[in-house]
Amino acid sequence: MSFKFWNKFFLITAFSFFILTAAFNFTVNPYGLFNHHFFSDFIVIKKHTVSERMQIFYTTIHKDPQNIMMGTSRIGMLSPADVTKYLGGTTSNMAMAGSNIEEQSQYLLYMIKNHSVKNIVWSMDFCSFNPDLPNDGDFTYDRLDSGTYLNRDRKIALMGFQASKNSFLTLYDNFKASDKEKEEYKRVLDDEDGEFQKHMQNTVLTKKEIDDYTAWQIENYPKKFLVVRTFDQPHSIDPNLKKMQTVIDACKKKNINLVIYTSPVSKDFLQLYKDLGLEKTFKYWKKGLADITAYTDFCYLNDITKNPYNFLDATHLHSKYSALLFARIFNDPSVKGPKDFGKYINKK
Amino acid sequence: MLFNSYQFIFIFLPIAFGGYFFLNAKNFFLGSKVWIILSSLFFYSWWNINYLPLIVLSILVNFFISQALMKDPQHKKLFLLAGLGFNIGLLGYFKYMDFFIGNINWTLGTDIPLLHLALPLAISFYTLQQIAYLVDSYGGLVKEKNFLDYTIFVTFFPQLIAGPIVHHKEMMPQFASLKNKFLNFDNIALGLFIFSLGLFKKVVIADTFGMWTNAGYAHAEALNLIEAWVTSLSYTFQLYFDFSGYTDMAIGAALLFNIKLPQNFNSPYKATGLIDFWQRWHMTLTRFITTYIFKPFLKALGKVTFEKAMFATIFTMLIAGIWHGAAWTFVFFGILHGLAITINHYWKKTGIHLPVWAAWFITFNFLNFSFVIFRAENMEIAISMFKSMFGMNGLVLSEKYFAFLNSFENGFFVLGDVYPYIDGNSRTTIAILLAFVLVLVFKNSTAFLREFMSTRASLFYGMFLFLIATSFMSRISEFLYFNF
Amino acid sequence: MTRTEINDIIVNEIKKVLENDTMEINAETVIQDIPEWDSLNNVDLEMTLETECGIDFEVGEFEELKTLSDMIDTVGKKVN
Repeated sequence: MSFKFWNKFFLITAFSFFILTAAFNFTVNPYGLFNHHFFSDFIVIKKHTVSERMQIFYTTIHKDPQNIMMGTSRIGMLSPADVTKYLGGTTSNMAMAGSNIEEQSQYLLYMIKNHSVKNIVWSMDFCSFNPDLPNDGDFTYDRLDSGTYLNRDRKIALMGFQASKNSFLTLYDNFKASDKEKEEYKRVLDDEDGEFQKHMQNTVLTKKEIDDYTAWQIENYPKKFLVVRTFDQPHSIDPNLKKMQTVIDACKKKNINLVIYTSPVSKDFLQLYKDLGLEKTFKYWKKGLADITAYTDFCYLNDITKNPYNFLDATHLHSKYSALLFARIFNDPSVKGPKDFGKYINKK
Repeated sequence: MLFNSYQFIFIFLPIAFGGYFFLNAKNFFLGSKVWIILSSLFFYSWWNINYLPLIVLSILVNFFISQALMKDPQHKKLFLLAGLGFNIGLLGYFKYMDFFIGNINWTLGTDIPLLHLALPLAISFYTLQQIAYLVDSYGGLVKEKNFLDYTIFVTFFPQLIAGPIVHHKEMMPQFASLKNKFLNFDNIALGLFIFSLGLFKKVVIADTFGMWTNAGYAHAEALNLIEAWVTSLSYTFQLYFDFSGYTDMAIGAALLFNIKLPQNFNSPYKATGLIDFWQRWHMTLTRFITTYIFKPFLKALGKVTFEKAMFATIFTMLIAGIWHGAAWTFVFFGILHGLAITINHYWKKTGIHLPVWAAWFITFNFLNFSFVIFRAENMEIAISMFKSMFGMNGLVLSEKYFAFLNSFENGFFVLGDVYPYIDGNSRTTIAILLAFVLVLVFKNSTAFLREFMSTRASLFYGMFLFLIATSFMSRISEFLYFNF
Repeated sequence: MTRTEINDIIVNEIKKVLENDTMEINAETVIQDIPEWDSLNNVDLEMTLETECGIDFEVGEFEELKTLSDMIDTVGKKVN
């Protein structure tokens, strides 16, 4: 074999392999990164993701919603339909599980700058303010930098084994699924009529399951989300309050309606704050929030949080209370529920 | 731009390569020189264009000094000192200033603010290379009069970022050779092959070990005995495959342009002594520090004695340690290696020969321990790691394979999950064992190069490495939260 | 100084530092490739040549000399 042939064969194979892979993954689009609708009737189910953040981000920007919900998984369990009910238009739930304020602010600032958002519902979670909670959800500034054409996400979605494998699995899922299943999947995903909420409301956990999940969270949260290095000093959360302030300012400038509330957690979890010596910071946090914004406070001992079985575990409010929570925020008396749930707080 | 990126492999490299040989084929040699310089500067600026002025300044100043030095031999010492001062000053300012200030603050209790300068890319490499060039000019060993040629020598992109550290006198004849200006299919095949091998080493092997390393070092204080050893070994292997893989890619990319870069690794983990190790590991750095630091320093001490030579060795290794990074861990790493080399020399004098396996075992374990210091962010983490390696957090054996030992469980020894913190499984164990086979049994890339032939086997082997490696380049560790 | 004299100085020094009288060294032997040869031995050899022949090597010059005959050539040029 001549060296010339060796080279030719090598280069032609390498380049065609590269191009075919990219074309295949672009077409199947398993992570929903590309805003096209090739075979959109056939490829409906996309369950194979490598990064929830990536998925949420691109789904949201392709939908280009009027309203955004932002926060940790506490708001992730709540229904966008309940927000749409009060604010109209379309709503996307951009909840970033386990995120800190830094990450949430970055995504919000991006949306404020680049998209026509009118309303933002931002759920505040005490853990997100922990200065020692690392920004390790695969957050990358690269994603929010619209200038880089071949950014990390595009590479991940177009090239390589991982993407190809997930494209094949996605194709396989869709071959296997019946039309009815696809229809159902689409409905939950679009959530036009609160399908997500219906779906979540049907989740029934036994008391034992709730107790187990709660115990697990109480044991594990102090290792990461509530790790106390400087968190017990109230002023340690100042930088995060400041980051929040930049979002508030950006909203004001663009005339965006920013609705803020604190997520409810169960009484066991409120007790955990005390046990970890975080009570001072917790109080300072609420006061600090009040100093920069008006908000609806759910994060205290009230009729809902008193009963741990209103939750899925120690921190996630059961989705059936989604409607009630937003009704309290938007002052809607038509949704009935216990009296003491949600206090409107402003600077006074 | 990293070698292991799609932009480099599928866009930059083909364009740089095509342009260079197209211009040469038209006999427009000046154009091809300019082309390769512009490509290299573009490659360099891809990370951060802010560093571009600095490298350009460094090239201009060094070239100017070397010219002055040649034109005015009477004052050449003065020029040399000025040049050394400039280079060391530049490196010192950007790389060591904060370390220096931090230590001043710590010892004197002062509060001088840190500068927080970002380390300009490749400054450690291009500074060394130019120091060597100046010293060689001073000794009359090189005579460069052409500014473009000099710029190529410093910026030639395959070796710009992470070496090998090359000498002017071994590079420039290659660029000047007319034969090298035209496509050479042998070299292209060799280059593609060695590049693919390096890419595979970096992307598939090193990055896999890197995941365990990072997870392990993040929890150094909590690892059980086996997990701690696996973490430290993972880093030892990661370091080698990463660096030697990157060097292979550099050698491969340079070969496409008919340039042969010097060998940088020669199966270092086969070393049976520390002297042996440094003759096999980052060989171009060893060559630099022996020639330009060790020898002049030793000569300056007067008549050479064994003790003086040992002192010079430790001093030189200290410098080599600091060159790797501005932190006490690197200082300590350097001194430790200096001492180990000294012991090795004393041992040689005794004339006692250890069996090869024992010599290898001692050497490898020393390396593995010293790389813990090299990797750890600070000494506390290194110490936690050592403690874990010596079983301070107990020993855990896999429940699946060692269930029969359950009656021996006690406070130190338990059955359970062996790799909870580094997120490993039985594949981790297998990977470590395979890596030992790779570094101890396999030929190194230089041997592959020497024996390379354009056969069907080498074609499929090369393709296999390339396709697997490029498919792994966009791998990310799956990042999914569950109910957090 | 003749080539033979220079040759003898080098060969004797190599044998002395390695404590090995029986080794074969010819004009084409690459000094670096002699088993057991290390950078310290190299400095020894360089210094011996400098003192015995009354010459000076530039920094980096000696490392360029690969074979025995390279060394003899360069030293020969310097002494004469």
